[in-house]
Amino acid sequence: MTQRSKKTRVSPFTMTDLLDFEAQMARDTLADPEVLSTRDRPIAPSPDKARKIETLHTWLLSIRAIAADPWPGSKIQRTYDLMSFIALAFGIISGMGLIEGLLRYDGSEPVNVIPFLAVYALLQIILLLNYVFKTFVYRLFKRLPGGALLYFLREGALRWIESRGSLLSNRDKERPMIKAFARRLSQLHRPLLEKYAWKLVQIFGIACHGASLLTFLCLIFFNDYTFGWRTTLHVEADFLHTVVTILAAPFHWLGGDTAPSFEVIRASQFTRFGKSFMASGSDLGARSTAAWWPFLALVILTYGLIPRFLIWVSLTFSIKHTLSTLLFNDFRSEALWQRLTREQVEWIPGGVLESAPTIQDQTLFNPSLQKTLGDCLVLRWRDFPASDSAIESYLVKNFGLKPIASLKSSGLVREQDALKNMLERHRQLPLVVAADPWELPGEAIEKIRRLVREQGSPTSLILFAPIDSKADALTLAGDRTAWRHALKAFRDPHLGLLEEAR
Amino acid sequence: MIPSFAVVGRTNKGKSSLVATLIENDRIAVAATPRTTTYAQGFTFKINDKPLFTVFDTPGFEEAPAILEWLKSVPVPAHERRARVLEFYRTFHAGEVYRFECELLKPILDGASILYVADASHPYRSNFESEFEILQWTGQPSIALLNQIGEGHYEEEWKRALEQYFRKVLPFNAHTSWARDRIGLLEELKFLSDTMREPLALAIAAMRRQLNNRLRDSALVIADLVQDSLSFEIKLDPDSQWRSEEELSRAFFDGLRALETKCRQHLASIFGFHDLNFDDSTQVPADAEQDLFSKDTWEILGLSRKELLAIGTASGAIAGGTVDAMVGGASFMVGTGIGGLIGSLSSAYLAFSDPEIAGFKLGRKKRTMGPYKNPNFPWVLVDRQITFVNTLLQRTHAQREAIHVSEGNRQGSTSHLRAKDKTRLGVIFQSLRWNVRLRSLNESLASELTRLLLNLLTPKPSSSRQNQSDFRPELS
Ligand SMILES: Nc1nc2c(ncn2[C@@H]2O[C@H](COP(=O)(O)OP(=O)(O)O)[C@@H](O)[C@H]2O)c(=O)[nH]1
Ligand SMILES: [Mg+2]
Repeated sequence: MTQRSKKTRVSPFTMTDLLDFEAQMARDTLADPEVLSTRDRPIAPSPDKARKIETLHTWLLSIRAIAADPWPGSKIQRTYDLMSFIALAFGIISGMGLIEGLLRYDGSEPVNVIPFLAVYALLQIILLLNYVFKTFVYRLFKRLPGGALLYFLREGALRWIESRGSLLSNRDKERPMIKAFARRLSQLHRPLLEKYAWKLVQIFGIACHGASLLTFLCLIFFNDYTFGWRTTLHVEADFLHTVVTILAAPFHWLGGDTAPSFEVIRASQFTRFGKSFMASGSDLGARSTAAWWPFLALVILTYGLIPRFLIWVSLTFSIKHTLSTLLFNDFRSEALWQRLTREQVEWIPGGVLESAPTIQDQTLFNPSLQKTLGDCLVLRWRDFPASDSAIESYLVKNFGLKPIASLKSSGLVREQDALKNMLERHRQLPLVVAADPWELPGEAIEKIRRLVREQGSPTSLILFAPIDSKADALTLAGDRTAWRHALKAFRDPHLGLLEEAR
Repeated sequence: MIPSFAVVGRTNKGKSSLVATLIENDRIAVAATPRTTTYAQGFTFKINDKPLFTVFDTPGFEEAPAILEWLKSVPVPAHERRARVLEFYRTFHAGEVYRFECELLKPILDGASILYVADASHPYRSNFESEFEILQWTGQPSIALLNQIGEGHYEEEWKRALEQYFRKVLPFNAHTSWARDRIGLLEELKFLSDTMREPLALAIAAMRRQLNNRLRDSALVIADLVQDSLSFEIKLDPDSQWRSEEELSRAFFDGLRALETKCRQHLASIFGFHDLNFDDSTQVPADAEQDLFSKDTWEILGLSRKELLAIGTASGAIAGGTVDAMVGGASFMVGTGIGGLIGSLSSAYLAFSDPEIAGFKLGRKKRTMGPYKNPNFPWVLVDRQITFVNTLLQRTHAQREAIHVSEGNRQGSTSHLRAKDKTRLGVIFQSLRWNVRLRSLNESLASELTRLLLNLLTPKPSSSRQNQSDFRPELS
């Protein structure tokens, strides 16, 4: 299945998309994962039929539709287009300038074809070889020279991007993202960036050679040139002929006068001293000096224009190919992919979560009846295990309180009568509730409190004694913070911890 | 209707804590006072939006004796007990009286199984029996869990009492139950009723996968941190507010600390800790134990100087080779040699220096500071995050106190790596530093880290298992 889909697949990613994608990846490095997953959730396709590239592209489109931040893709693309245009213009200018320089002709001396060949044949061949080696052989050995220009173009582009935080965000503090963006580009898409850089170079080359060729033809057409060759080195005419024949090999099939013959070459050798052609006097010389031009034009075409054009075309295709075979297997993309397709395992609350209650301190326990401490009532709350006498000695010893009546209660309805009775008989006496330390008071105690307030007095004290009964003797329970908090919830100024009423 | 459980028990015995731990949600209110939870809050476990089962957190029992009194106020034969409880619910659910108990009973009367939570740190008292009885009257399948809130140990008496009423009694500590225990609990719940078996089996499998996925996600986050930290530098404005070099370097290190904090928040959120309280070590740099740049940290974590030297040479050479490739081989293998040399020399110099004072140069012309060059830095960084992840694995979502990441006296995970793996990691670090491109550098770092993190799930050999905190939750 993957095989077939691979063949028929047309990658939806353009360079603009890719840049935007990487920008979003960089932005997401700073984002809270929870936010990301809620954001991406609705975008997620059903995982079974999903295909990675398409899914990521769909995701990008959806994100682009909702995110307010600037997107660098089109901006960088536009900058690149501008650069291409500059390269084009610069190429045209330099092509024209170059050819004019090489064809400088004041009528007294013929135009020397040696520098012409050096620039339009030799240099081009070296550059081409370099390119070929750089791109093909490099893959095999990875250790070949060249690419310095490329390096500067690429690094320059990355520096430029890095210096432009506004490409990614309007907010200052998120500037670090731009670094992440540049880093992703450099680490993940270096070959692609290099291809773009090369393409820029080729545009310059095409423009330069195209302009050279046209200018050359115009100059030839409007002027009357004499070509000759001369060099400080001792070069024989037959050597130059060999070179010319080799150079002409690619367009030899055109036939005719595409390459100057040996006679022409010999005849057009020029000596400075005599200010004359070697073969001066012969009729051939005068005629043949002009015969160089078709050869020179074809050299520009063959070694300049056509290869540049071919490379440009191949780069264009190669970029397309690279874009269509992107794997997105770096770890951020992988995380995104996981987020989009991984099963969602989660616990969904059925409603709004309750928040922990804040403890109000408005009604503070205010035991204003300290003087009346002396006698008291005791309520043995729930299965508080100590005997009445043990409780009594504990209260007398620690608090100077003497219980005069005592009851057991678990908060049952049927216990209420006895409690009412006791309260009616001793209206003003404080009620001490002896309890296990873990029996924090709740609604059951609230019912008792109301009973006290109705049957007893609205201001009599209700005092809680959380008591540890583990040891032989009763002791005050260890940590009473929870008790304090729990008691505050009753909002009764006459209800509190026994120890605090002392 | 999907199966459900109701977590019930006396107030303040850790019901909400248990639910928070089980469903890994640190936003559930847990407090030492009664009535923190006031209504039955359901949490539904879903895989890809498909609900499997629900867990209810309930307000606790407070007036069980009185309710049982009400239930028994007329003679009720066993076959009508459930109906009697339902009658209780109908009578009281709209009013204020017994409001919380009605909330508690609602999911059970709707068919939820019962998870009774008791606190075994205090002695058993017979008044709890009224709760058991009420639950028994509902006729729902039930299981009891023994939590441990305080210091005391009364498991035996609690167990004997609970076994009279519940099918099974299990210990489950809301504060020390990690992934393995959670899954163990769900395994037990499978046997509560037939309808539970399938959804719980699915859920357990999904939870196991989720744990692995979380570790993978953590690896990505840590890889990001390592990348960012190794290339971290600060630029100075011409009219910069930093006057002394000391101040400047403090700003630099604080920047690195901030990166780490950010990463840790990220990690915490992967593990479902959203309200995690980090004790802010940046505020008190003197409180050094938890600080990234404390000497203690650097003594324990990372690699030894000898190892750093060895790895520095090896990784320098390999990464140096890549530099050759990058500058197009103009250096013709010189890079390899020089890389090795630089690698070993710089590690030699830096390995012996203090983490706070050495390891980076202040570029005077460019007015930038960083990146931090200490060779041990990435190792310490990785170790610290792995320790942090381990701490997260050992923390439950019921714990609310600040997280304390203690390195203890243990060495970090990286020092236990095999030599080959160390070299590989060293090469990755070196390449990140020199910004050379290895084939899929990202993945290799992330996958190395994934491997380190997944190691956390496999129990370590007995040697380092002396104490509780060394325990690692294991999953098959
Ligand atoms: N040490 C410890 N404390 C616990 C444990 N479980 C609960 N607690 C504490 O007990 C108190 C009550 O917990 P909570 O879950 O709100 O009880 P609930 O009322 O039954 O929901 C809180 O202060 C918790 O921190 C535990 O396993 N260990
Ligand atoms: Mg609760």
